[in-house]
Amino acid sequence: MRAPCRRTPSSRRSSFVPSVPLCGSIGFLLVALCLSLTTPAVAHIGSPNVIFEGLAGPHPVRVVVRPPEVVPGLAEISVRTLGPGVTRVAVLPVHWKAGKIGAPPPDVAKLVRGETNHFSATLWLMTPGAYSIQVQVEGSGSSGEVSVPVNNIATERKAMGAGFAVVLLALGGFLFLTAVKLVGAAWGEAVLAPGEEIARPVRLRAAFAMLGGTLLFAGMVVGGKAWWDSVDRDFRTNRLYRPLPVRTEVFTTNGQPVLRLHVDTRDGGQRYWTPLTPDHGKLMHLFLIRDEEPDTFAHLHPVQRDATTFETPVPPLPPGRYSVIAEVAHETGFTQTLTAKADLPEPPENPANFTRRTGTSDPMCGAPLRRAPGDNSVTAFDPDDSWHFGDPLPASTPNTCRLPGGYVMQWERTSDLQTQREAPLRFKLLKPDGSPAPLEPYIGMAGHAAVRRADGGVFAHLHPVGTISMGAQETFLRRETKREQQDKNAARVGTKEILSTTQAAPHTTSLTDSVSFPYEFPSAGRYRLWVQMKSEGRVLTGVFEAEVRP
Amino acid sequence: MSTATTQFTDTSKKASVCACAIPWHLVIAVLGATCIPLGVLWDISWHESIGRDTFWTPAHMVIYLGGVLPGLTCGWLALRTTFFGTEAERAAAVRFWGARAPLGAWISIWGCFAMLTSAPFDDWWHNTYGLDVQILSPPHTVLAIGMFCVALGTLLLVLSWQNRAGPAQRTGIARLFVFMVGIMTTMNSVFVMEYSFPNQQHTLTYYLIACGHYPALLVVAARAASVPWGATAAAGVYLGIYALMIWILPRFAAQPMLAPIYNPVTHMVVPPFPMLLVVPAFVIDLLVDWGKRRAAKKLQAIVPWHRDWLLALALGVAFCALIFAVQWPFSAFLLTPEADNWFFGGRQHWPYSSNPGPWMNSFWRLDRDPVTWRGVAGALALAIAACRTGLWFGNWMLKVRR
Repeated sequence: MRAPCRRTPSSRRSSFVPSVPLCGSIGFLLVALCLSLTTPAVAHIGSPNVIFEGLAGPHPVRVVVRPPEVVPGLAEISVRTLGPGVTRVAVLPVHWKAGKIGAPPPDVAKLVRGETNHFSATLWLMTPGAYSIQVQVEGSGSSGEVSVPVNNIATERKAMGAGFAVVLLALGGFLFLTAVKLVGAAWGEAVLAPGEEIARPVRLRAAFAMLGGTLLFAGMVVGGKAWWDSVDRDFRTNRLYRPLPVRTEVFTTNGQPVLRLHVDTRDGGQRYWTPLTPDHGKLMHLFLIRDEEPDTFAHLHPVQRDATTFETPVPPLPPGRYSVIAEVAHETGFTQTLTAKADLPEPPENPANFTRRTGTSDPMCGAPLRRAPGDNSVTAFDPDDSWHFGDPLPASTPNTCRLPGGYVMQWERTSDLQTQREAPLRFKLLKPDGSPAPLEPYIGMAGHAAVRRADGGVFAHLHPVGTISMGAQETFLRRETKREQQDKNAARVGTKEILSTTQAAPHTTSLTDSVSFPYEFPSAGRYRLWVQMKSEGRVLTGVFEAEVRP
Repeated sequence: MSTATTQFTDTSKKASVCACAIPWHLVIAVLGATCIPLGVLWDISWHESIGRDTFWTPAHMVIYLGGVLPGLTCGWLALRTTFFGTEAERAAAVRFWGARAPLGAWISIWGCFAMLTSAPFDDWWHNTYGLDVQILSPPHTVLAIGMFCVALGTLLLVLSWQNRAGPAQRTGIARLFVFMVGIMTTMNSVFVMEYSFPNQQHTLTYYLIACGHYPALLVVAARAASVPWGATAAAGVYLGIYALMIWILPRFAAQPMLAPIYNPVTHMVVPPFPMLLVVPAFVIDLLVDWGKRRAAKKLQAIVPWHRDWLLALALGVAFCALIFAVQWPFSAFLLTPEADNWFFGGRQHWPYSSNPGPWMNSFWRLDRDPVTWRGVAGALALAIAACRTGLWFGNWMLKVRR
């Protein structure tokens, strides 16, 4: 494990000097136009498991949903109850279009052998699109329910193993040869009277029949293969999810570089691009990570210009090639992570002149900015935009990150990280005097974290409630409430009152001096974590590194 | 004729004098093969009513029985004939890599192997492309070919016995043969069910499919059975199996167990009402019988080459005309509220996953797949070809002795 905030040769080379002149000379110049062709990504990249930690009524639970890789497929659901007194856990799949009234009776989750608070179940998810896994928890005298939204979509086309292919070919060859021989017998010996010897003409007829059979069966094999290929083509073209391509361009307006993203919905992409719903009050959460210097990181919130176009002012980040990762939630409850590349230009001469749409938070991590008057134009930053760049401060260690203003962020690690293991990532913020820093909500949560594998193959945006999209969760809840109002008979609740978490207790984590992010690392490798917390009006971003073992 | 043939003839004569009962292994094989369409129709109903299944659902067990019973029976027949068979039994068998058994037994055994082969293929298919909820897929086709061959083998087993049997046995065994043709017709109908809903019976594709394969089996029954009205009886078996499923399945409660549920069914879903194949089958019987009587009257030693071609032409025209005349108005009736009763099944065949709406009571794809004169000519050509194929196979079946 490497110290996350230490100085590296590359960071020295490209450390950013904010005073580089730029904006006036560029004007309306189009700086970059990039088309992304990226790895499949549905709500995070390479991290398909959905994790939720929160309340099901009065019961705290941690839910992990491992969605199927193909549709229809079997989802694995693991529920760990974090409080006492739970007697029964049940799960049911709710399709976004059919709602709870279109859901089957819940499946009772079984207690995992040797565990006292760990339940597991499997559910078939039959059609593509957004589902909500409703987790019902019953305890002594109280029951609760929580919705965990998941995407159900084919994400992988598995190749046939060589061993299996050989076995299948051998079986097929055996069937082929025996079928040909049977055709010969049918037109030869079978039509002879019992006991009659096989004469030469009969042998000849049988041989011709076998030849005809060979041609017929070969034709069937060729036709079958063509059919198989067409099914495979259809799967790859229409059923296998491919992230929508995103074009990026950077242009300058009023001296301010603006990043524009255009989602390309041609070639069948329309079915994945339906109206969006806000997640934490933002239609899009955009992350910029510099390719050469991954310490440089921005968390932005573009405005939607039209159905498929988004714009955000570019923060004063070092110039270079950046990975653009955009998360959106649709009104159906379906979530997507779109990826692209963008070449950012030199920033404006005086970043302090940047305007902000509204709000009071201080976005700059490492070089605080003077806040300009509010402005809701497209070139104004969102009040919750934040970014981090530049040399790390000295005295950082693998588990601590020194932050501007003397703050320190600590990663409270308890054990080595392993793949496919629940690993709550707990971080603590300390004031310059070493006392716990009081945390304030940042975009509705106690903290945000982004996790990225070194090669970019994995990216996840985490909250204290896990990896779920809360926008999608709220969408499911709103829709269900509306349905229940429309049809009082629609609600399939028993006589026992079921409390919904989102109705009973909104997602406001009790603010302390530490934040925990439930997560399962999907694969081994070196990871970088950006952890964002807000204290005393400042958003602080800590950067850490971690080695995850298989 | 060789010595062996003479010995067999003597033995079979003795056997036919003292035995008029149908051999037990034929009965078991036929019962087993009957399980296949019953199990498949039940399984489809299960998937449309409950959705979720396991390896051990009752419907699956019936399908397995359909493979296991004929397979084991034929396997036993092969072992007995090879190692313990009498001279006559060995003489009435087909050699296959040193072993001996009737042709039908070998085909049934082959069908069982094909069914077994489809299992890992289907499993891989589900893991790669998702659980297929349609009937037609490559691994399902391998399974269907296996099932078809199990039934075909059983049919040939019965047929070879019919062709060797004495008068006392012949009628009973011929009835088994006709019953098996009905079973195979039912199996074929399941395979094309996705193109045969009443809502599709005003499209050209439906008539192309119907004319392309149903006449062959009906003509086989009319030509090769040693009892009259073979085609009508076979079509009656097909109609009866469907009718029983439509009348019995809704007696059992069911609850969908998969989401999304748009049509909250409360009882087992029925298959759509079958085609009225008995009408063209009746005419097929009349025409084939007329051909037989005409040939018998002329006592011709050599059958003129064009006789079956002309007969196929007449059969094809009759089938095509009658299927249009019957199914066109009958399908319209099936979409009316008058057909929504226990007898016809009406709207009871819609699965839990179908979102109810007016589309359920309307004809589909009328704009994209209309019935045109050119299309009708194609259907007619297919019907004639199917009838000619049926006559060809029927003639061959009359010769099968082993």
